[in-house]
Amino acid sequence: MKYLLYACLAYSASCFSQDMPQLEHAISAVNADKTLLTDIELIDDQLVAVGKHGVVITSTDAQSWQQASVPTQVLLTAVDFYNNNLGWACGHDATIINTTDAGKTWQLQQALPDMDKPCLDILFTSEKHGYAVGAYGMFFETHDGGQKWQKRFLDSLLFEEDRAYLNELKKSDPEGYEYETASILPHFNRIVKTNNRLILVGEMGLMAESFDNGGTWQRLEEIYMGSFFTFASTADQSQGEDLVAGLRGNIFTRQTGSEQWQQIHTDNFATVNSAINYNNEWLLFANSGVIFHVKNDELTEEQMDDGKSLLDGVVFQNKLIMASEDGIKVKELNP
Amino acid sequence: MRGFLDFLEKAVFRHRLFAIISFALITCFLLFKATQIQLDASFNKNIPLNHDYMKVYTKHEKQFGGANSILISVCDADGDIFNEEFFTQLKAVHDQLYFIPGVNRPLVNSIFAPSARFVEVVEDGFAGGPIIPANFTADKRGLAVVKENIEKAKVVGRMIASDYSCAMVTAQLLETDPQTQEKLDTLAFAKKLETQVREPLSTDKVSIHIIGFAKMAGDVAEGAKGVLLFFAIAIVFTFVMVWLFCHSLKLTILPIACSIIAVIWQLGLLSSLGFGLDPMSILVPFLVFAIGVSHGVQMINDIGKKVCGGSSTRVCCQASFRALLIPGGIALLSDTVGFLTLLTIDIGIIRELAITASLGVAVIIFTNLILLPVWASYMKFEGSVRIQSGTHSDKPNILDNLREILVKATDPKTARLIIVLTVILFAFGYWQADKMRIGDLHAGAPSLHQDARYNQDTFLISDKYTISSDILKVIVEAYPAACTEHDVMERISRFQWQMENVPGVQSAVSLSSVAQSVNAGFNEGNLKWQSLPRNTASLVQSTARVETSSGLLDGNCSVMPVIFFLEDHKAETIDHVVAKVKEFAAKEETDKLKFKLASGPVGVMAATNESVSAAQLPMMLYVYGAVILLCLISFRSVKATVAVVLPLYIVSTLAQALMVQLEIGLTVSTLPVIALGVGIGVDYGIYILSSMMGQLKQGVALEVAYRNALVERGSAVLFTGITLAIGVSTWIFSDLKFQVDMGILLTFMFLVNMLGAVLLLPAIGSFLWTDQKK
Repeated sequence: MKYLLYACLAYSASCFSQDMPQLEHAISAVNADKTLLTDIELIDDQLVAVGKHGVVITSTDAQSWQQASVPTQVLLTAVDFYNNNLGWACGHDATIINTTDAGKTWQLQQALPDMDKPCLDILFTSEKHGYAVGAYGMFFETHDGGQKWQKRFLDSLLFEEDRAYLNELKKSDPEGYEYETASILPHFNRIVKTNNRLILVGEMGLMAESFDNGGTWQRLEEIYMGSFFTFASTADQSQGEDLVAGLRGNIFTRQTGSEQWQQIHTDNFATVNSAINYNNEWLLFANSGVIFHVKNDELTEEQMDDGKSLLDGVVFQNKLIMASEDGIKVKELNP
Repeated sequence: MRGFLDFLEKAVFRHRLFAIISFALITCFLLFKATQIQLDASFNKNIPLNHDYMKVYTKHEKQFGGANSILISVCDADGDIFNEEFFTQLKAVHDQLYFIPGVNRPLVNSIFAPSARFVEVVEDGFAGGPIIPANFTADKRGLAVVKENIEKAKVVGRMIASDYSCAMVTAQLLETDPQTQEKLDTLAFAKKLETQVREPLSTDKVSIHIIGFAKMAGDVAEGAKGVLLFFAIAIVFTFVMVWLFCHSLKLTILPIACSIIAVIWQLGLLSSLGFGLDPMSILVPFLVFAIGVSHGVQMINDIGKKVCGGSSTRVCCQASFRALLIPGGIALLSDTVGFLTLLTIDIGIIRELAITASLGVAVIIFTNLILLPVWASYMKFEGSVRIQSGTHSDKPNILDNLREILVKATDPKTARLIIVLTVILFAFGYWQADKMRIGDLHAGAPSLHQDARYNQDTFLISDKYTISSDILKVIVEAYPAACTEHDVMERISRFQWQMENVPGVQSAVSLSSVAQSVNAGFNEGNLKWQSLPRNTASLVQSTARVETSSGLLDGNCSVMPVIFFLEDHKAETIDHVVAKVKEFAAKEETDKLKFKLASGPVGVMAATNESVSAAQLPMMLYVYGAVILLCLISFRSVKATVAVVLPLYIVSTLAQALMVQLEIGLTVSTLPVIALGVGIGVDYGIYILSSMMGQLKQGVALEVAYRNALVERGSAVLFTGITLAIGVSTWIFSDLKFQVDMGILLTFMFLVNMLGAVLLLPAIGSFLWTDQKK
């Protein structure tokens, strides 16, 4: 029996189906909270962060972190919880995993190594309905909580000439069409729901919105040619504000509902990875240990001593808990 | 045996003058040679070159550098390096180090090195440049630019202290100069680090901290010079004690002078054979002196007593020569053979020690067993000798009382008590000795005190930087262009991550981890892309940016070291990390992809530790084998052999237990001590027992035979043990931690071996010679 198992492992290709490869579980790592972490969420009173080597860690005090059992070793890039128990995370090889026990154990929903594209953000708008977006216009959607993920190609986001070309190709050369669609769209870096809209931001200044739960998408007017990595909104508050930011310190805000973006000027070229709003102030987490504060369109910046890039952050017990390239960073909030 | 003794006695004493003159001439010649002996340290000497790890090390040494590195941390007193003075001094240190002969110049590294570049991501791709711009001036603007570049280049923690208070300059040393083919003079190099770097370039504001093998060897050599003082103290002390023992200036001079001559011969012979004296073996000449004194005192004790008996000096000396040549010769010969067994250990420095020590002990046979009696035969001792043997005084003195106490050890009841106590002690010792650790047990250089400059500098550097000099390199051996394959790089990445989670591993870097960062760089610096592309073209794009000068790959990326920075180089840490590497390799190696141990300083230590550990048992077997064989030949008695060897074994076990208590690990420098201990201890037992054997064979009762042996040689044994123990105990005040440790160990060995010979030996004897008539 043992030898059979060995033989089986040696020829794993023949033992396991190709579309769902048997993956190695993330190793139990004492330094799980000190490796690259890409996303952090606060659900109820529990923190969940994801990152490299299939690391998912949880904590209730931001000091001691427990590593969850995760069936993959890929770099996880995003995590989203719909409620206290139901959560999803995605990462490289278009891997998607989910949890039903508040992040303690995770199951594999999708892994497509042959696609060679990372998923970069994941969002659930109900228990069943979710989106996973990523490199080169990767867009997966599920209506059953991730049992089945459908791949979509958002051709409405193509430039006009590309769309014409692809339509042509679809008829004449289906294979060529597949090939082109695999890389013609820009990276989708972030998908966000605010009030009645879905917002998608990404490479080459991409900003798009959907008012029908992702059914149709429209590009917003281009305001910057570089990449956006984050979009955040306080549309649910009175006098709500939207903020979009990305490469090399490019930050823009607008009043919700307004079409008019305003650039927040800074000399600091640190790339902004994500943004949150706390006490009517925007906190932007950026590379090289920079935290931008934006309030009433006034920008101040803060530099973390170790200069480690910050990918995300949440406010927890009056502290800023951040996911950095070097793991969890904790900082007292300035009053 | 008797015929040989007759021949030798006649040959020597009929040509006394010739013998004396020959000795004088040889001594003069060797003294001249001895003055030319140099302290000599070399990195390769400390390496077991034939160990599997070291074969990997030497195979890749040329491509990836050796393990003999120097780290210089330049620190600012105010804790902020961004000022003009600091940058001036840092550049000076870099340049100065670059020009010191012996440095592998292309590998000198700091932010001033041409290879110190940064890369940054801009909208349309990459931009980059040297960390220190070509037009750099150390003004506010210039320094701000450099600070920015340092952050972009991600060298904080490596070239720059994590808190920006220090900057690092590193270099690798070449074992042989590529131009002159001359061997690197490590100690001269260490001196140059002081005179050309530290002294001229330190200022009130800028301090310089240097670590690395060469610096440590230099500091040990510096400290070792202090040994001379302790040597002198020990000689003077021994002199006074010998005089108190025999009350004759002439008899006092004899063993001291002959022992010094033995040391001269030893050093002279070493120098003639082309050896230097390693700082770590600097204690060996003292040991030779000590062993010499031990035999010399036996000789003058015997001569003195015979003179007191009223015979002419010459007759006495001849008789003493005859009486002591065999036991003394056997003891010294077993020492010599014992030390020679160290040759089986394939580490240069231990082999050198084997030669140094066995040579030293062998010459004692000539100087103290032959020269001494011949020399003495020219002296006149009328009435001046008063060796306290007790037999001639009217009322019992202290020695007599002591002797009677010792003789009680032959009483079966007392003997049983002694044996029981010994068994308990031995059991405790054995249990402790079993915990003996291989390798260094403490961070820093264990030969130096914790508060020594070198160790302070080590602590500073491991505190201020995320890297240390405790580097382990695992060499991934694959096939040409292996780095273009996702599976290979993925395995390396998995390996690195597993190892990064092993306690003791501080951080790690490999082509795979750098390629992942580069891949993020290619994707606008977005860290969510810090992963290995599966697509070969993208993977190649990521690895192609890594140059071979990074030390992470060779020309066709068939060899890719994974570099681990460890927290320290304690044996425990190394064992654990190495075991984890092997565990991973066993699981993940394929026919074409191997994870090979090891290179880097810790790789060398791992090999050394394994060699030392493997050598321990055979060495003990050889040493005891030699002692047992020689005892069997000379005593022709299994009982006598047991009575000599058993106490010896128990004492050396206890000595190992003491090493555990003192937290001394078994290393290249401490391993020989175990063999030396046997050498020191064997003398006492052989002298006592050889005096008893003749009587025992004639059927004399053990108690009587032992009492006679004590009268004849006991006081000399007690005296030597105590004198030498006190002499070495002064080493506790040495500047070298190594010497302090050795002082404690040797004090213990001198004393306890003596006790073993006068208490345990007769006690064991009372169980072996039970059928002696009264």
